[in-house]
Amino acid sequence: MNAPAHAIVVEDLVFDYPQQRALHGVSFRVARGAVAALVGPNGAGKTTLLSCLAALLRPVSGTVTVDGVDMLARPREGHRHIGYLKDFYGLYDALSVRRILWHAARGQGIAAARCDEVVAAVAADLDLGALLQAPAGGLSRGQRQRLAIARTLVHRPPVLLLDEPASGLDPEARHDLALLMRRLQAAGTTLLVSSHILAELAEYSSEMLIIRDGRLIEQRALRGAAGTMRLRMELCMPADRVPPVLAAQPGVSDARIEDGAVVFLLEGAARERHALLRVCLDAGLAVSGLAECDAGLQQEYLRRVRADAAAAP
Amino acid sequence: MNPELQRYLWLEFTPQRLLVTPVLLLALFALVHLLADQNALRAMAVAAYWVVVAVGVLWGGRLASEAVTAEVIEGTWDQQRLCSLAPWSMTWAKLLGAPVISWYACAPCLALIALGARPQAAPVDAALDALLLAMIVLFCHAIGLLASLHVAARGRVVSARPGMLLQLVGLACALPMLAVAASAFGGGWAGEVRWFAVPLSLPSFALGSVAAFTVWAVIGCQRLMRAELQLRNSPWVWVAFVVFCMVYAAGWSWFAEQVAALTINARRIDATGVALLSAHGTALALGYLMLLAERKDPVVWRRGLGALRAAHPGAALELTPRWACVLPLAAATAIGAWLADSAGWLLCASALVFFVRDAGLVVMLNLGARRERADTAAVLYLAVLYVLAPALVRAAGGAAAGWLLPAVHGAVLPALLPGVLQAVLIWAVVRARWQRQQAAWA
Repeated sequence: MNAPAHAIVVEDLVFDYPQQRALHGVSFRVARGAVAALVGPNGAGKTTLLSCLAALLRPVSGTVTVDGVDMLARPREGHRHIGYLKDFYGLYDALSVRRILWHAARGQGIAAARCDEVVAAVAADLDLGALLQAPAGGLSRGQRQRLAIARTLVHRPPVLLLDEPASGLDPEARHDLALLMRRLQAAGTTLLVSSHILAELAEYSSEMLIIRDGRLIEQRALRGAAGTMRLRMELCMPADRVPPVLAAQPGVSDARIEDGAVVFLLEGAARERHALLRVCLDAGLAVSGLAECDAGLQQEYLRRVRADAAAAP
Repeated sequence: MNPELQRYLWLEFTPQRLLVTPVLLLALFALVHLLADQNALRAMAVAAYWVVVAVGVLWGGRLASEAVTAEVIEGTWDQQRLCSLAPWSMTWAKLLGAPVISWYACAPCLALIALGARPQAAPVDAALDALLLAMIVLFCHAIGLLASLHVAARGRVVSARPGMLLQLVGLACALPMLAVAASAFGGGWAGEVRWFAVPLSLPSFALGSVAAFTVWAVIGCQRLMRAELQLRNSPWVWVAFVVFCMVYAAGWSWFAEQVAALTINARRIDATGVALLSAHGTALALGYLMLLAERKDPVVWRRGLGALRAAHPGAALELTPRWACVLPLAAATAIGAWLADSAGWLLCASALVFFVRDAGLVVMLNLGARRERADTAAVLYLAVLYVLAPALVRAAGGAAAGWLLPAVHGAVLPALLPGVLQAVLIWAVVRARWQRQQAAWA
């Protein structure tokens, strides 16, 4: 059976706490192999959303499908397909790193005969190989974080949900974490990462979901899939709408106006970029610049949140 | 091996504990042996009995009662919930694993009891003594785990020690069992009980009863574990348990034949009437237990009503409050008593009406602003309604029955009407409070 195109599909998710509604009909899809940054202010509902995706909380209504598994109907099966690192997690301090990983691996149904191999591999990935015999209680904050991530990864889930994974890590450890994210993405893992450290998310995220007051206010690509670039086209006069000639070009998507310039995704490389520029100039567009642009996750986030706040009654 | 059990073995069986526990037991039994005037083996068996009570029942029960709550506090519970172990695997691993060190201490004690409690008894009977005690220990552990799961499910874990209510219930159930087990030492094992007028040997009955309730306690743990792992539970297992308890309680109706004074309105209640009254009282007692134990916040009601509106009868049934499931059972016993022309039928009907009123009171408080203390407040109000207010009325020379307490006898309408009116009134308040809350929510 073919794997579904979207690793995560959420439809009209509603979750209530006794005091308030935490999620108001949230819907989104995350493509297989994408790294989606889940951002939003404190109390926006990010952790609640991740917990619903991980089938730790049962929503009032809506559906959650992860890697083709209906998480509300078959949560235990779904747990084999996900790894979830909570922002506040615990470790068994009296157990060694090896035993904690062994326990996690067996808990995910990995045969005892394979556990040593699996534990060694994940420990190597997270640079914990030298600490396998050390009790978790004696580890530093960064080492504990790496152990928690290793525990999440031990069964090599196709979908990873990470809530503030870089919290408490020093800059070097954060860099290592970013490298790990890239490796996981290259291996085909889909990641949904919630974090307050937007600059760091920008390093590896391919799309962004902004959640505010329990509502998903935007989902957009930060960079396209492999072979896609985000471009910014400056015109002599500030644009107020996307030029039709540009929008009609094959390979152009997600075009929008930002600060008077046109920002869009283009499939292809330098040749396609050149061809597009030629078409636009031939069509009489007063192009004054065309450059690849970093999505600037922080700016994107602030722009969207401010716009949402301004639109709010 | 089950990974969860393996984890407990790693954590609990430290070399120090493995060494110190037998040394301490040996020292204790050596002391008893030296102090015993005669029959040292029996004296050691009695000491072993008390070790099992202290270490197995009390300490092991406490360890089991922290099995889930301690994990919630330490932040490891969600990671466990994310594993793919089946609920049953998780249940038995925690049931045996959390108090595993107490079993390590109890095992030689149980062997000693089997050998020395009744040196003259047949080996099978002596083994039954130990088996009964082991079963009681397991029952207490299951109740502890049940309490731990229950507190985790309510989402208010502030301490590893779970709520007192379930633990007290467990201990209250365990005490008569322990008394029966202790009677074995005095030779009381050979007695007889009459259940549904059938004479049964005390050992068989005691062992069967303890085994049955232990099985139910373990089933309860498994059901709560399923809920913790976000699997849905139908109410039928709970209904089956209530029916079992009703039948078990009704079996003691032979008691009516022994107590000639058991009359209502000068009419002697026969064994059938007592059986139905017992069953009715048991159903309502379990209803009150669940009324206080279950979550009753607006989210639960919203989910249930949502399922009803969406015409999902299966989901609605799963979300039916378990306290409400006892209503048809209690009503059936009341109708049964009426059909049997028993003098107790009015008491059954009246008690049922008052239960509906009390359920309304508890639900109303749980829909209020200060939900975290709603159940405690409800217990206080019920104590005032059932104890203080009738005492005040009586002291003032009035008659409390009818308005304040379930009516025992009298004409049907005056006996039931006060309770019905109170129930209607309080549920009207519940409805108004619910509608106001939903309007504010929208």
